[in-house]
Amino acid sequence: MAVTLVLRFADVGIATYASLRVVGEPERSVTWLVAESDLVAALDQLSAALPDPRPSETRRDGLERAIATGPFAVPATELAIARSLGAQLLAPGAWRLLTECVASPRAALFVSPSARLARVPWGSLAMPNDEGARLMELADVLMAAPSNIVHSARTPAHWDDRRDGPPLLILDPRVPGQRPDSALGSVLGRPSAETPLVQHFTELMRCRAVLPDVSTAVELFRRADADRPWLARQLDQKPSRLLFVGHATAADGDVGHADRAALHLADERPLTAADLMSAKLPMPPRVAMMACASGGDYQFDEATGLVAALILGGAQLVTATLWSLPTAAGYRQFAGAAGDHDPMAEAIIAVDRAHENAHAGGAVNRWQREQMRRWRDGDTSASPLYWAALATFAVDGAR
Amino acid sequence: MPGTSAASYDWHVTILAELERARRLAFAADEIAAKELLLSLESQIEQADRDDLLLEVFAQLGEIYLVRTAYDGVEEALRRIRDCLGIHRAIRADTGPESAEQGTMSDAEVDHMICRYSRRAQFLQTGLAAAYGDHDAAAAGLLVLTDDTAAAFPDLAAEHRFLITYARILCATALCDDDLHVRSVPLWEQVIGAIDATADGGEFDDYLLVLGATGYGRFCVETGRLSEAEPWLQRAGARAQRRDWKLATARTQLERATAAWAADDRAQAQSLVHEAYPAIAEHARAHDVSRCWLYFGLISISVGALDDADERLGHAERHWREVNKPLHIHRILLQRSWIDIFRGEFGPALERVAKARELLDSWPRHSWLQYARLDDHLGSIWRADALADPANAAAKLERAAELKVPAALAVDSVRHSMTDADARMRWATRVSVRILAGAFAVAWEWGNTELVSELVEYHSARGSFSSESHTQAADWTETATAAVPVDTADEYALVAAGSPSPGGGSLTRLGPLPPLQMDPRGAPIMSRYRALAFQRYGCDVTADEATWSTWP
Repeated sequence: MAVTLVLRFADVGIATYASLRVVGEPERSVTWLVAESDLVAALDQLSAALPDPRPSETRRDGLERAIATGPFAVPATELAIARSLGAQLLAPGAWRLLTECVASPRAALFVSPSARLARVPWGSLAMPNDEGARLMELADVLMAAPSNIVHSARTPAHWDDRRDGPPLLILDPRVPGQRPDSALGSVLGRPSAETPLVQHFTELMRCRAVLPDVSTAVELFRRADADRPWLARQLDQKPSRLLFVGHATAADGDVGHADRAALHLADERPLTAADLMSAKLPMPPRVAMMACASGGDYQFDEATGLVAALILGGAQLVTATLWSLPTAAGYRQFAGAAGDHDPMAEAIIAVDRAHENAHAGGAVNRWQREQMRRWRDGDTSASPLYWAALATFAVDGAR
Repeated sequence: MPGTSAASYDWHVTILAELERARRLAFAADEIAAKELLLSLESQIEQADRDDLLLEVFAQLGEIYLVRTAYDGVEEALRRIRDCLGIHRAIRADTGPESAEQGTMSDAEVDHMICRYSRRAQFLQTGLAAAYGDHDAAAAGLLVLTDDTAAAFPDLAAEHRFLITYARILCATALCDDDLHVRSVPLWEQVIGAIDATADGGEFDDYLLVLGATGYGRFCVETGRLSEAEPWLQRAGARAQRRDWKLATARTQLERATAAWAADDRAQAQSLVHEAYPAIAEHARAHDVSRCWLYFGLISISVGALDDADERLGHAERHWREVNKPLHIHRILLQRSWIDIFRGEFGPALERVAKARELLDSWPRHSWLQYARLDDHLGSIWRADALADPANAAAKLERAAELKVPAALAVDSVRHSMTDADARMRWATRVSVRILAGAFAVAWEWGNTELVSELVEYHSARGSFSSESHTQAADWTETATAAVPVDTADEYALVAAGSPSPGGGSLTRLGPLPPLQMDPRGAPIMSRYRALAFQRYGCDVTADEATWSTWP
């Protein structure tokens, strides 16, 4: 039985308290206080690295900074941030306990960040020593859902019961009234049989049935019929899992209203977390939500609202993104030597494959580690803007 | 018109003008001049045997005494009004020999007089009950006043409306003085409706506007709605200035100073309270004088002038004792104990807090929140004592935790009984964040890893899906000025015991949490502190449901 660790943060007034514990061994618990100045510095460094626009930046500026000039543009500066976050957010005692728990099979570390730390890519945090090992190397990093969500009345769907069902694939649904290049336009571009993404889904369809029921993979993309009733009909067919790639938006600048975070289907009105909860749509056991930015949509920092709604709907494992992923077009525009490299497609394929694995959370972590090591070894095509953005929430013992 | 001669007519007109002048003096808060004028009129009127005018004198005197907290005077005025009205009522009811002697007034005039001054007496009685803090009697008195719908004398309708709104302002203000802000809400709604409608009225309307807007502004500040307070206080101030009502102008400045203090703008608070003080002191409004001294004291603390602060807060306490305001004396004692704490004199601090607790115990209208704040403060003394005494720190911090953690659990669970997200935010900012932060800090300083980790677990159980305020005032700044949010329709003391609800389509669980077990090898966390919160405050901070395991 692998070790389970729990890392929690609590913002209380101007202080942030943290605890790290080993389930079953409470006497090993470590607690510490994150100084407000450290926390603010950490968040500031992070916002300089992420593609979401900072004050005074346009969305395009934000994207350009993140890809071309920001700290996540090259491995040395990314490592510096990872170390500094590692030193600011985790106490030496916490790193010690994590190191002591390194084992095979790898320990599972569940993180529940405070609201202010919601966008921190925990797996990337580096130990502040010479080796600079990443948290994702010490343990599989997963996100914990809050107890009030876990203990709410819900009917979880189990992977073992559903694994043979068709995956439901919602790929870049066509938001009405939006031109392909507008804010809520296409995130994957025009689908064609030659793209790696279409080839991937063609391959998948060769092995198994998928939803919606289509004859070619190209038909999965840019659907104009993927509205609410359509979604309800697809979910009624008990898919094994759901992969959503498209736009997601946070509540319009309002704090404290995570239930207004929304996905954009082929509907005039976005589907909010609150809508999901009131419609009681039955979710499959696994959901991946790849929220993208074409450089023109909103900051997506309230994924947690949607994740909670999905868990309440029956999901046991949800992979979401901590920030908007730059589209392939956006990436190529600013990454000097990108060529026809498509990191967005690469990430979608990786998550899609991981969600077929018996331990999807572990599999997502495995891909993140591979990417991180490529990046660390100097391969700048493995951008942390993609691999570090993934966070997998797991409940009911899912890993 | 009684009397017919030209001399009598002139005399009557003169007296009416003088009575109006007395009224204007009272509106301008020149009560001494008004009172002298009224007393000089009284003897003339008595000689002329004019009961209607005499009643006006008593009624005006009663209002003046009420404003100046001379409650014996109000009682005396009331008695004289009622005696006089009683005689006239008896005469009207009886056709006996005396009725023939009445002579000077027609029956219709007598009825008019009885109607008018019965209302004025009812107003005084209501205001007096409110001033004594007998809110039930005040509410009953107000009901009699509003239920009086006699339409026989249309010329008295405007005065009746004035008295009703004035009485509502007095009742609402008195409720707020006793921290019963929740109960004052419907009254303020009616007051605002009434004064908002008279945008550019006469002197009576302006008086109500200034008094009502100032009182409502204060209510807003005290319930944490600073942005709502400002426009009303500005409006009241502008109107008072236009009328050259100096005290009323100063009172709006004082309320704006309290708002500035609550917003942590100390410079503005200081400048406003200094501007306000001379007029308030000159007019000897004891309660507001004390409030000025309180802010002078707070400003001194903020610059570390502890001796000055002690002296100033001492003045505040003395004036409050003069007008017998138990809740305010209680608060000023707590505030003064901060000075003891800063001086490292923990014994005197504890003594002061013990006295403050006695006051609360003996005061019939105390609430659980006042006790929770008191215990939290007592915990702060033990914490400060511990930090000054490293050798015995652990025992003292344990004691501090014993006080602070249950108080924090109580205020936090009330926050989560609020259905409105903005209301939760206000409660967090004004009440629970500081107390919760104190509980965490004590557990942390105590070095109690188990308790810190349990507090973190408890705090995480509801999720961090809503961003919350990350500002927090220093402990001492809010001891005597703490806000009392009124964001629940119910009495918040009861809400905490309510059953949990999923909160229709919300991600936030409302109501108390069930027992939490954070490790398969452990028992439910903080059970003892939760039980203490229930014992001390009647707040059921644990839902009667199956234990939640909180490990993934």
